[in-house]
Amino acid sequence: MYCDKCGIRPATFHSKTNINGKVTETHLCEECAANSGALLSTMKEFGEILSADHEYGLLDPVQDVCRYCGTSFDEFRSSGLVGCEHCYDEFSDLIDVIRRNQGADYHVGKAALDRSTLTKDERIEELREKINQAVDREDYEEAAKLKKQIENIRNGED
Amino acid sequence: MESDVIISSRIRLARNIRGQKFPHKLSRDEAKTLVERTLRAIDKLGDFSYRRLSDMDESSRQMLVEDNVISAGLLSSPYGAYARSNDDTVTIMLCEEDHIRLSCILDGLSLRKCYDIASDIDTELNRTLDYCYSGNLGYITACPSNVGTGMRASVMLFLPALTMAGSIPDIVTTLDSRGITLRGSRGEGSGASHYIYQVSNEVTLGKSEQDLITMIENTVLKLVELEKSAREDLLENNFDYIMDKAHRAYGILSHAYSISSAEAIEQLAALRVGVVLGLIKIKDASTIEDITNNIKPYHIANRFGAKTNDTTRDRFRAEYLRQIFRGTLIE
Repeated sequence: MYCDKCGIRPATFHSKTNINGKVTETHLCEECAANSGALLSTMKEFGEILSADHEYGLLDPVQDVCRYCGTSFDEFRSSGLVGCEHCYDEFSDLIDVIRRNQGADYHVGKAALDRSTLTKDERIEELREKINQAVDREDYEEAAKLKKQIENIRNGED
Repeated sequence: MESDVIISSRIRLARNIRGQKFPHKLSRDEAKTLVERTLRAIDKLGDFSYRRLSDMDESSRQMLVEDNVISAGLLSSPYGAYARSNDDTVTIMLCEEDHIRLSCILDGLSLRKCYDIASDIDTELNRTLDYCYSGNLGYITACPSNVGTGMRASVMLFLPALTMAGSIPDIVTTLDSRGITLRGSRGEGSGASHYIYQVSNEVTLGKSEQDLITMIENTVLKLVELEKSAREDLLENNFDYIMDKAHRAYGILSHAYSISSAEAIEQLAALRVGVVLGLIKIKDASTIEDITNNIKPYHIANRFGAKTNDTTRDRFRAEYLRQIFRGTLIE
C-alpha cells in the first residue's frame, strides 16, 4: 500500500477517524505523516504511543481489568507496563499495538529451556521451590500435591 | 581509529519468572521472596557476589547509579538487589522493571562475545528458574516494547566531529525509521556536551538475537566511517577552534578553583577530543573516562566527606581535578 498523499513511498502510518458515523481511513508514509503532524514514531514511551493510538481512534476503548493481577488497561496505557504475564492474553487489543510498534507478532530466536529436559534433581528442586511458595501463601492443598509429585519422581513414576 | 570512536558494547536480556506479578505490582514482602529465590539461583553460578539495596546507605546506592552499575530505576524497586560477576563484566539487576535484567559489558565492538557470555548465564539461570515464555511472543516482559528476545544490544560511541558538524539529528531520524535508536548516553541530556552516544535496537520481536546484533554492528561500522570523515573535515576547516578548545579545557581542569559537574564533564569531553585528534598530549589520558565518573556529585561527596553542599562540592571537584591534571601536559 502506497502513501495517500505522495503516492510514492509505502504507507506505514494508518489512522481512522469517525465523524458523525462517517469513517475515513488515512494511510501515510513516515515523511508525509511527519509533515502532517501525525507521526508518532518519535514517541518512545509505549504508554504515550498507546494513548495516541486511542486519540487517533486506532483502538476501541477498553475497560478490561486483568483477572490475575488487577491491572486495568487504562493503567497500562498511562505507565506502558503490564502487571503480569496473563495481561498479554487478557487485553485483546494489546497484540495489535505490539504488531504495529514492533512490526511483528511472532518471536524468532532463543527459546526458554524446555522443563522436560531438566535432570531428576533439578525437577525435584524446582518442585521444592514451588512447595515453599505454596506454603508462603498458605495453599497447603497445592503443597501436598507438589510433594506427591516429588515422591513420584523419586519412585521413577514420572 | 576505531577504538577512538567505539567505547564499549553491551547486551541486556530481560527475563521474568513464571507465575509472579511484575516488580511494580509486587508488595515488598512478595518482592523480597522473589529476590531471595533468584539470589539462590545466582549463587549456584559461582563467580558472582550480590548486594541488596536495603543493606546499603543512600550514598553507596547513588554511586552505583553514577558508575552505571545499576539503573536509577532499581532505586525505586519495592526490594531491589544486584549481582555482579567477579570480573565486573556481568551485572544482574533484580526486581527493576523486570524480575531479571542481565547485562554484559565489554570494551570495543564486542556484541557477539557479550551475547555469548550473557546467554550462557541466562541458560544456566533458566535451569533453576522457570521463565515467562510463550511460543508466539518469546520472553514475556513488563513492557511490551521488550517482548520477544528481551534483548537490547547497544554500543557506546564517541562522536564529537558528527556532533560539532550538526549531523546527529539527521542520523537519529534515519536510524529511527530502521528500528534503531541513537541517543545521548547515560541520561546526561542530549549527549551534545560530552559527545557520547548509545546506538541500540528498538525492536525486540520478529528478529533473532543474531540478526539484531548484525544490524547494530553494521550501523556502528557506518557511524565510525562517518565520524572518521567528519574528523578529517574538522581538522581541515576548524583546526584553530578545536586546538584552542582542547587547551582551554586543560587550563580550566588544571587551574579552576570551583567547577560544577556539568562544566567539568564538558571540559573533560573537549580535552578528550584534543587527545583523540592528537592536538594535545597529557599523561595518563586513558583515564579521562574514569575521571568523568569520579567527578559526579555522590563520588565527590564520598571522596571529601559526606556533608557537603553544592558550593563546597564544586570546590572539592576543582581540587580533585587540579590534583589529577596539573603538570600532566606534555609540551
